[in-house]
Amino acid sequence: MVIKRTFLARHAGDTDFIVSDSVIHQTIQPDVLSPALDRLLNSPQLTGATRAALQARVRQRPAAPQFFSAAEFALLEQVGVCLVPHDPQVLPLAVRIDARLQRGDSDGWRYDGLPPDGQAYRQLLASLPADFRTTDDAGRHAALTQAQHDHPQIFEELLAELTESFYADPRNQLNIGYVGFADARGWTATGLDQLDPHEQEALDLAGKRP
Amino acid sequence: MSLPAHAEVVVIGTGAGGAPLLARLAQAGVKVVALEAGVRHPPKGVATDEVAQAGIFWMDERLSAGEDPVAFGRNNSGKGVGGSTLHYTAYTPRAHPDDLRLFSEFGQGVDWPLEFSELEKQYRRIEPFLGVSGPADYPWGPDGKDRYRHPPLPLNGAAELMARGCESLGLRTSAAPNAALSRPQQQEGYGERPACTNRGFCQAGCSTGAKASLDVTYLALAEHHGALILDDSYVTGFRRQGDRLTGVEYVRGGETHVLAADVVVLSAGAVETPRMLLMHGLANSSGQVGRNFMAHTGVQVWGQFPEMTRPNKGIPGSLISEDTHRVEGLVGGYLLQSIGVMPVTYATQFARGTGTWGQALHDHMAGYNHVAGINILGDCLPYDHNYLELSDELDAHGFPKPRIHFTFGENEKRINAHAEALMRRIWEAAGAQNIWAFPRAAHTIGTARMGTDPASSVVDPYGKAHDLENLYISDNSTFPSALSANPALTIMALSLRTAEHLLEGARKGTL
Repeated sequence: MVIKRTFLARHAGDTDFIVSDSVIHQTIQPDVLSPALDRLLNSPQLTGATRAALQARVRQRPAAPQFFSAAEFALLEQVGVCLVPHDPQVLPLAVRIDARLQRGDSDGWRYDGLPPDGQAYRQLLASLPADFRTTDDAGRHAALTQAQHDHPQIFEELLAELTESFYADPRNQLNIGYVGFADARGWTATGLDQLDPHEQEALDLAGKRP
Repeated sequence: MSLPAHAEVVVIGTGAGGAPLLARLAQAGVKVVALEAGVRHPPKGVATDEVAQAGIFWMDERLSAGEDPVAFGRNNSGKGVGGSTLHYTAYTPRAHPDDLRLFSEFGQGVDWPLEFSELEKQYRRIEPFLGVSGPADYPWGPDGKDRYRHPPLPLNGAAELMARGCESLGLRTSAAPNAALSRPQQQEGYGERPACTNRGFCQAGCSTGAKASLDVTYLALAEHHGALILDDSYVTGFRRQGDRLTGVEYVRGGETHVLAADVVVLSAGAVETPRMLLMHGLANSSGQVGRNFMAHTGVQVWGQFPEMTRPNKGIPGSLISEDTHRVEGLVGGYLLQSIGVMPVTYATQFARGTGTWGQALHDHMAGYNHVAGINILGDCLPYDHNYLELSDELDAHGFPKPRIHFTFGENEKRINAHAEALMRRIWEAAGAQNIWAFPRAAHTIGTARMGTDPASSVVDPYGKAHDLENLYISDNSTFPSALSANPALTIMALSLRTAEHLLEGARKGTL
């Protein structure tokens, strides 16, 4: 996939735009929500229902695995960081997967040829080379490329679950310029190249540029 | 709450198939009870958040088989008081007269065993009641003038771009009919529904009541006229004597109850309805229950534009073209719609559709505010190789999970290929870059076909099971063909038609 940098340039002026893990580390403290986002989430720009959902999510912390063994979990977490780059101390994506499997929740369907989700994920993890955790970035990239080829459906499921979880976080949503969760008043400017005044206010509160 | 022991009519499911019928019967004074597996989702509790809204979807696991396995859950399967209308985009094009006569026109598929005028009569009732917003003169199909009660909702960025691309290719476009209010409307049994605030999260539930999900429309009307809706009530069995059902067994609050009923209406959708019939050995002397599963051809083409689209804003499907309703070389045809998109949906579709991961995924998502899509909704023929069966794997209720086999036939492959090529041209003409296609199938259709011959169909043209005197099916299970239109409006039309048939029978004493 060729990425057109012109689109990036519109957003990359933000100091905390996600371009690498190191940037995430600089701008989001594990234990503190940025005051600007906190201000926005607590503002009347959000309905109570949306505020409650987002505040619970951003305050979620790392936890010990229940479904996976410690070794499986450590591997899952590392795979997750490769597939959807994030800081697991800030965004406990692997913890959410573990908790979901422990609860037995589903997204409503699975490919008929696959075993249940937990078993499928274990299968994918077990297929990775033994030195996956200690090899370098290039080695991990090669191993995951192979896994995507060999286990396309399981790989797709895990990638989709991680992606959903990552982009459901308002910090990551703000970083792509999305502020739709500031939903209390809706929008009047919906046309092409239009920034709604309420979007502008929300972005201002969060200290973001459109 | 004391639970009723008896209903004249019990309706299982409160979506587009169950709700209009429930309201119509309640208005006529019939003692009706609805059993809904999901709970109530009043607008005030609806979050503008895709993950938090998972509760409006049917998340019990289904097994997707075949070469084009269908995604369920968020893609097409609702749960809650209002059923799948809680998450529908409220896109409400009518079917066309020729949609009902595929076999007559092409020698493939089957004709519907009813006249278009019978649907049209109901469309005319349903559209103003829901408060459909649409153009003053709809360009395709009969009777397009002054059809809609409210003016169209505003076009969003994707719609403006699609209009631009289509214009340069010589394709006509129109503001789409959407069952969301462009002006406030009084709703009997509910109160005032406000105008849409263009929040763009229709597919995650409406937080204002502007969208005509059936909880704020037909179900409110039904309750106003005395219908009882029991939510969190999961049907586990049926009572039967000879060729009549005598009651329905369901679990509510952890306890099993039985509701005696004179008539049972099954409105659980084209997966749960045939699943129940198969599990409980009902209405299948034809062997047709679960057969003919169909899903609309629904390929999407996405692009990124130099302009800012901010695609989460506005009614998602705000522009339509039906110039492709008939295309040389295709059986049936398709409609085109512009699509806005919520961020999590877009991100996961992009990841699934392109397999992109790592930093490249984030790089692409950085262009989210420049994304716009076009989608088709095309016909799908019934095939022997597409069907639902019960698997050996049990769900949390102890019932077999359904396995759904789906593989596009040659005609569907041709529709998708034609549409993808056309949509790519539209997007190129509109100035898109990074164009990519997401192959998908939309909606669940078929599996309990209506027809006049009991040997080749499950229900008669009014929805009554051929095998049982008092079992009716009112949902998308009964569609003989998929139609080149979104199904909700037509499901509602059939629902009202079945209700009138029941009332007619009651008047004549034949019920």
